[in-house]
Amino acid sequence: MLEIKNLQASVEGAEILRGIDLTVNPGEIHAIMGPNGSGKSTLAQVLAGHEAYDVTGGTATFRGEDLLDMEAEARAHAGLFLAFQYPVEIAGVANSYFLKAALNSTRKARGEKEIDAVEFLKLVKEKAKLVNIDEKMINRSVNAGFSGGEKKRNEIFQMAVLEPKLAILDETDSGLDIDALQVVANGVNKLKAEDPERSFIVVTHYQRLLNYIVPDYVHVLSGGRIVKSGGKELALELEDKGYSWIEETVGA
Amino acid sequence: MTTTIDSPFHARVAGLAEQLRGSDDWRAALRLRAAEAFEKTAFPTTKLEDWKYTNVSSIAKATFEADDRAIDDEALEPTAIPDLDAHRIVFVNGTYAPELSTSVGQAGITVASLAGAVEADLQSNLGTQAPPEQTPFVALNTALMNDGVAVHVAKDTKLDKPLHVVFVSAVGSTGVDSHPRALYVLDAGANATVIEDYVSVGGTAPSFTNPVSEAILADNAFLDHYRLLREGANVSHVSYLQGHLARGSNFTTNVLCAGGALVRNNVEVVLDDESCECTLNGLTIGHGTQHVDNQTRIVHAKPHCESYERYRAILDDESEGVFNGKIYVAKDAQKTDAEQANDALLLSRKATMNSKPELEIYADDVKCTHGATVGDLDESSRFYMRARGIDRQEADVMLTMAFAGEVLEHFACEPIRELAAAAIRTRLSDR
Repeated sequence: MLEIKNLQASVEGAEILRGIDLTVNPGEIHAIMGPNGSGKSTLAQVLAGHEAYDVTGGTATFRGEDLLDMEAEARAHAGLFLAFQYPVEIAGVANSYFLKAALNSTRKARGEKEIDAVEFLKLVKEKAKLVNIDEKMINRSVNAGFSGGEKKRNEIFQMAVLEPKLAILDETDSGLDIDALQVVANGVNKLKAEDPERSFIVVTHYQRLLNYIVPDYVHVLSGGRIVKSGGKELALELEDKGYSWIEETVGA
Repeated sequence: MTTTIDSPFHARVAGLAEQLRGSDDWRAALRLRAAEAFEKTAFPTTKLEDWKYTNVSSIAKATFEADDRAIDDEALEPTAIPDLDAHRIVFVNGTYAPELSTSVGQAGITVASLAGAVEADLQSNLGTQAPPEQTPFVALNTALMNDGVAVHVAKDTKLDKPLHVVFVSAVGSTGVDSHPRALYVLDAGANATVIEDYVSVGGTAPSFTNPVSEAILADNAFLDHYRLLREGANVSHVSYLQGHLARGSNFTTNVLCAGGALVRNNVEVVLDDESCECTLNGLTIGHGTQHVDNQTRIVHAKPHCESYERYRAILDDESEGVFNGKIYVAKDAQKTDAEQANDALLLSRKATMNSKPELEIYADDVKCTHGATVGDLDESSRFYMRARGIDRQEADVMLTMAFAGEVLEHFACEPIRELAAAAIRTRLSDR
């Protein structure tokens, strides 16, 4: 699905990723944990194609294609989805219009027929039900005036409609109360069940989301490198001992 | 005025004064007054504060020729507004074209050509709101007034469909000038929608349109007015719109600037009794070297009136936008509620916007707000859209539409909203 080798990236000359190696196979859930400033969000943004970051070295192959050579929209068309840490408010653009445009761009890029209004509405209802989200959200402007929890739910809803092959969740759990956290986790689990080949990279600062989304692998990012990898028990160990434990062990 | 511009118009108007002295036309006295006012004045220069950003010397110095050519329906067809169901009255280079116009056969409604037979009520109102002494452009319009539209809506009558007034600049190998006039008189409780539509056909010789419109609303009258500027890149346009509102009346003017070379719109509305409401909506879509200047002045003369003003500009290439929003609140005008917003979206690094609110408030219990922003398309919004699969071009269209939508949603006439949206799409697809 995704193979990252020695990925290095910087922003405005400051080196942030210093050689990331990560392989995600179809159907796997990888958690990426790490302290603030370790490069977690940068990794997510670089993979999604944010132009503020300069990739200075390494490779990333997504479903056999050179990911780093693709425009942000082409990455989405290929099946990559980023749930933003800070979803952007776009006043004056209705969620429904936005999502339909996104879906149809992707369909067009894949040589598929564009979805019509009736089919789209049916899909929206179905997916809203699947991820347990109020479908009325579709009539509002994209994230405008949404609470933090609503924005994160909207990300999950968009993910459900766009049906990605690989979804990257960038701190989707931050700032959520336990109810919203469960909605997010439930959405991810439902989408995993819908397509067992679907892969996820869950970027998080805390272990608590991983009580609900059980990862196959846990990686710890520190100083722009993956310093430790393990199974789901690594997350618990981290929660218990804190990030300073990692920094002491690896001497970073 | 201290500085004068030597203008061919002065010689033309001087010659006209002689003719007018011997004329028995009902407009001759007003036109003569205007000719005399024009002769005493000069075109404004950028030394004047109100004209600091707009240089009209190219208009003042140019030689235009009146042109009485006729055009047919086919020539006008490309300017049609899709899905607009309206009465239509057409003027070609300022002259009424009955063969291109429809007749309004509704009781209580008069739509007349000013060059034809005009009822006494309309005659007596002409020039009362925009007197020729006001500015050189109004004086010039009045002196050279050849034709125009006069509309009277009787008490408690509602015009059944919008009135689409089309002013066509039909340009040949030489530049033409036209000085269209519009007069709207609405009796108590009357209700109408009027669309002034400025288009051009034919050649590309530099031309000039100098319209003056007066709107007089009696108690509880309602007028939804549009000014659509869709002339070619060779046509300069200086317009005046003067509105007068009586008790409880409601006036909206919506201006869409999507054409022209040098454009200057002057709007003044006087809220002259209690409980009036006035709305000024403006959308500019500029490109190339267009210069679009919107000057507005709202006079709150009496208490308990509301005014809303929203102007937005989308400026590409090297286009320039200017906005000056004056709000005057008289000492008596307590409980005034005035809102003004001016926002510009610059699609190019070379596009510029000059925005200036001017609030002059003499009452002490009022609510007046104003705000101005200038910015470019939001990069984080664009990336968010692209990350969802929407390509850059489409993302820019959606973001620009959303920006325009904040004004367009206040345009009541849907076909005009669609016309504006189509103009934006065309603009962005040409980039």
